[in-house]
Amino acid sequence: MNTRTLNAKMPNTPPNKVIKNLTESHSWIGIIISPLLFLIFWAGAVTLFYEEVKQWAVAPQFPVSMQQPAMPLQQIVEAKLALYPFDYQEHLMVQMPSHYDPYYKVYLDLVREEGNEDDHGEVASLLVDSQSGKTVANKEDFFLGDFLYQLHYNLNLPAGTYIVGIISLFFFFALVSGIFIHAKKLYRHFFQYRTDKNRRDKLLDLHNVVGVMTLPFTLMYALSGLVFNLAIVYQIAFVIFIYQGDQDSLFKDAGFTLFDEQRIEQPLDMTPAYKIIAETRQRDDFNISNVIFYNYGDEAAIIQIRGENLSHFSQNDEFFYRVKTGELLNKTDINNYNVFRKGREIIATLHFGDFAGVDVRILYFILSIAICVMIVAGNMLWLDKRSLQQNISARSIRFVRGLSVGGCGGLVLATAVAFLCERIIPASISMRSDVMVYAFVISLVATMLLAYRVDSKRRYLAQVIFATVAVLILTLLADWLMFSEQIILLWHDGFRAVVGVEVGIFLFIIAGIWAIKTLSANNETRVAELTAEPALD
Amino acid sequence: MWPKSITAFFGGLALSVSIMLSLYLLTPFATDVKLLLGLIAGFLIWVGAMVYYFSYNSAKGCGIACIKLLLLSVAVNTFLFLTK
Repeated sequence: MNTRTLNAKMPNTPPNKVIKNLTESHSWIGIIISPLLFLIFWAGAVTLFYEEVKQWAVAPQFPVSMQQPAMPLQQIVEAKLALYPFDYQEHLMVQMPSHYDPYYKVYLDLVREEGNEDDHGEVASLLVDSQSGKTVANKEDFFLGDFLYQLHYNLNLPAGTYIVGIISLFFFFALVSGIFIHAKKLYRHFFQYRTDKNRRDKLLDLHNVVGVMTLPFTLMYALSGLVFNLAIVYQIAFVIFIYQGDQDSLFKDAGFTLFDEQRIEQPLDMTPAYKIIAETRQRDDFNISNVIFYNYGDEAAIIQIRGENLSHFSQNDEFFYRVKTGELLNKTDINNYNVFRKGREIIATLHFGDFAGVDVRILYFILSIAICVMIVAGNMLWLDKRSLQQNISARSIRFVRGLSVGGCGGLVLATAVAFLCERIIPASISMRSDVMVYAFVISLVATMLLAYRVDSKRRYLAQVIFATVAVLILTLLADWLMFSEQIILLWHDGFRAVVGVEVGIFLFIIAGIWAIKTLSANNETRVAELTAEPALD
Repeated sequence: MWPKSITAFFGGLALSVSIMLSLYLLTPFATDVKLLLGLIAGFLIWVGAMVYYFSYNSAKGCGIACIKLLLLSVAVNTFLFLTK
């Protein structure tokens, strides 16, 4: 980027101030968003393996015997409807088993209590053995995967979606301003990493190298994060100015089909619906993800079948059928799609990295962790610079330093604690997901508070990593002490994500040990330097 | 830095919404294409505007630049809505 050209367009700005102003705003915005940005990237990195983590958490607890003949879906659904007070005015959703997950997930909207008819009622989310049809647990009981996913996109807070959206916006700004700041050296110093220079140069090179090399990836993440979390802003603008308040028309134009037919209270046998589902499941090129029933058991019944077309990149097909006649009411496929919806799906596919094998997600994971490192390096650069300035209070420096070490390190430790809790808390405990969340929050907050009380941040970081490694070792031990037979059985049945997650944990332990050794070696070098200085004097 | 950040954030938002609406009215594509284009372009304009506003030395300069661009864009939009 030619800064002179940019300045020439802005007569009020003195020459070369553009880059200076952008550098200041880059570091200022960066330091403010860094704790949440780290959290978003860290939780996102783990969430790349959402399905694997879910399988690791649930499958050893309730192994499914794949040799047993499978119970028909209709029998399963109708058995659940007989057990729960389902509100037939609402829809019923069934998520299908997959090669990651041998369970049906059945979601039933229950009848609302008298006087609360306008509220959204309780939903029973059942985890059902696909072979025996038995309800093994409530879906929410195994919350780890969803907890980390929610942490990634809404921080598990009421207005979290918008907060994450705003963080994405400022992250996008930091990326673009970073390009302006680093533009002259973008190619010349592409791989520059000076190990022989001082700490500040090393940190700056680390920040820049990771920033430049991950740029296409980070730009995609920033933009897709905005599309998912802050599209509401433009949705409101479109509804007000273009659609004159008609939100349904906007949704229709955006390709989201809405069926709001009322029940006609004439009973209907739902067998044809299950025939359609069975026929669709036999297609080799189509993988059903879920089925939604509207007006179940009524002559106005409609089923919506959604899934992935395996022959095309990022092609999610959707079919609506009228159950009584078997008529295809609406379809979305490769020949018949809405550009807006398709574009959004492509953005989602790129965001989640699920368009190829696990190797792509491993690459995404490495890049996400590299960005976490870049965020921490950016904070350290800010601290190094501000420590030399007279006008910055020691309290604010201590605050940022504690937040960087305690927040980032604490998050890693808290995630490990959550994994351990998910494994060792018995499935029979009804509040197990709450206990896991409390353990996560307590370990995060405790690590952050302790960070302000410990003087040597480097030693403290090594201790946090040590604690993380210890918790992960306990998790692996618990895995094999509690579920060795089930894990071997799952492996033989082709459900290998459990072992995959264990390999990931093991690699993390190795990386942690290496980090502790490096930090301890650096500590010893620094102590040696400090003790040698008086002798030299 | 706070006044500058607030101006850049809200100024960028207002400008992006305004230009996005102009794009919707001006481009000859199908509705679904225009919606996707508007959404993506909206965010790009928002961030671009923020970079531009932050490049000013002071919050005052940033605010003036913001108002100028916004007035221009609103004038274009008003013309487009009236002549639609």
